[in-house]
Amino acid sequence: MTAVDAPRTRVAPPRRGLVGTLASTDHKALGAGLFATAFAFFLAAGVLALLMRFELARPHLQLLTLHGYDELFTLHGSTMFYLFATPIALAAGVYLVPLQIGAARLRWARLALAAWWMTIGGGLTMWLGFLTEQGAADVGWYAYWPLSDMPSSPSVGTDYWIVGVLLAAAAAIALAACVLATIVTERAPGMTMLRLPVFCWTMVVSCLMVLTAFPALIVAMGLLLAQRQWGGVYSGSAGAFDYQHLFWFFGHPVVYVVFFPFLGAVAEAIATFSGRRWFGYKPFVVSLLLFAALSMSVWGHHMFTTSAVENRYFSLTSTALLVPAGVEYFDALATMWRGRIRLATPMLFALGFLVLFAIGGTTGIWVASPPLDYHVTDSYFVVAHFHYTLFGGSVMGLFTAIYLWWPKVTGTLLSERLGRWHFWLTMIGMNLTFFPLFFLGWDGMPRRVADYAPGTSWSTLNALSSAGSALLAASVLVFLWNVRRSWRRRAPAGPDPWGGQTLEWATDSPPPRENFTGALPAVRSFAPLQDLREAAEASA
Amino acid sequence: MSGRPGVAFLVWAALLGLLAAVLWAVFAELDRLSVLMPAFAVALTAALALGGWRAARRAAARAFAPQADPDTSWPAVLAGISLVLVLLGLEVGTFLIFIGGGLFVAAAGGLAREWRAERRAR
Repeated sequence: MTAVDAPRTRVAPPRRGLVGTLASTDHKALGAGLFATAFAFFLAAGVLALLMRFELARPHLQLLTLHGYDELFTLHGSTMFYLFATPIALAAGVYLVPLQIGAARLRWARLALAAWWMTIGGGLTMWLGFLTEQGAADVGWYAYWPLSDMPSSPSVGTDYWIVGVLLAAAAAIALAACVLATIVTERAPGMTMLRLPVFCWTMVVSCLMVLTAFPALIVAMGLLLAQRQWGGVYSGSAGAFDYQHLFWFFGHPVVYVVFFPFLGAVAEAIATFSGRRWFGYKPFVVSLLLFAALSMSVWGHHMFTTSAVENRYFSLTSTALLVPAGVEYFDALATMWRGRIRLATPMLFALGFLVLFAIGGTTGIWVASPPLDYHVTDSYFVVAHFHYTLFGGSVMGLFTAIYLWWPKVTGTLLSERLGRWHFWLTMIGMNLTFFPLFFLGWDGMPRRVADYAPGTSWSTLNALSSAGSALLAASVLVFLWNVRRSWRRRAPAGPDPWGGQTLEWATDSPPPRENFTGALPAVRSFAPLQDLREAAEASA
Repeated sequence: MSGRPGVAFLVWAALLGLLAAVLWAVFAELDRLSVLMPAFAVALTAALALGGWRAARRAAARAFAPQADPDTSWPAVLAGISLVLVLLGLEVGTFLIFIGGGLFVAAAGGLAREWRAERRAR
């Protein structure tokens, strides 16, 4: 087995400490910083969700005003999408892609650094609205026009929100460009496109989607800002539909942008903890490209009830998503089939991802059917569906990634016992929070309301959901405790505690500034370390 | 697709083009955005594909050559913050646009110095 020289980078001596990290061009510091920023926004948006769920636990208004509730669901959704899920998915790429492709650096690291600061600035600007006299934006994360125009939402907080979204979207585009450029230009010798690790392929399709879909958001928000300042941009029902087309051309793909990277993490975890390489690599790659292309052409299903789109086309493309999704599920199950499965915490979260996303995906097929969508549109059924895809998909995938790569990033181990507590609390809490919402929605409870009539089954279902949200909060506390414990005890992880299959496990934990100090293993497939392992077993 | 990243881009562009064609030809959906947006996506990805091929060829020669990267880049941080100030200035007031613009010029100067130093170090 031949090896190739590690990529070399001549650098100034690294500056230690927080100040150096804040301006570091090292992709690892950048990725970790962006990840921490996004996770902080996740916690903040989670607090907003808790406040909403406490308000809804009983009929009538307890904690919040009607307007206050509007502000909370706006900032909750916006923060989750623009400031948490998208940045954290890209942060995973910034940190891991160079390591997985055997590169020493991130391409255009300065652009990524500026983008990190734009994300921070955009987030603070978005939340700045809470400090204004009329409060934060109250227009939902989609800001439908004309409800987001001056007469309906005169608060300056809405303007701040638009500016924040513009900054976050621009930052996402910059970060995606950096990750994609790294994959195109910095791959190690032997690392052809069809030898890219599975996670890298999920980053390729995510970045393609960011580069093609997010400009539509920038146009929509730029025009909305102009409309609010000077008017004359959108008018009449055509204006409302134009805005929705622009927004949802971004708004649906973003769901996959924040899903694919974590699908990649789950695939890496399943392969690693099954002791087998990922099954059906090439069909998986094709299915990812098909999945991404289809998801760029389903935006109209958010507009079924407007009569302004060709429902048959968008129903067809939305239902067709089942095909690539099915390929990916089949690959996951086939990888585990006859594998030596180890139920470590990353694997538990990966399995949880498969179960929960299956519920989110199948209910997605329901709402892809216009007659069913007419019944449940704007109801809690839709809220339940997208939380099963976003929480069940992205957040379970995120925790898979965290538990899988924590030893690599920090050089220390997380507690398996606390990890299991975290997993089970999350699973129970997540289902308790979101499953009752299916029944609420089917029974007609509209979303985005702070109050409902007492004396119906809605009270019990809402109380159950709110209890589940408290469990979810507890699960996050367990995770934070686990992180704190890991930092204090610093149990050394070693370079490859799990028996990983990709190049990042061939270097120290945490990796040095240049990523690889010795020779890189030869890259003959998408799982070079598994190749070495199998060769050693064959020779023994 | 094995060694050329451009092929992945083209597969993606072709799939998008196919979906746009189905929308236009089979369903006669002529809404301008429904057609223009996928077309835009196809054009952009095709351009990226071509750029990717060229960049990959150039990079193949230099990727494993020694590189001189600065460990920190304060001008890049300043550029990010200045863009935040400029956009925030649209709402807060013109003064902030000027401050942000000034900072951006300073950041651009700093970045130019960094790039020059990098070129010399190679």
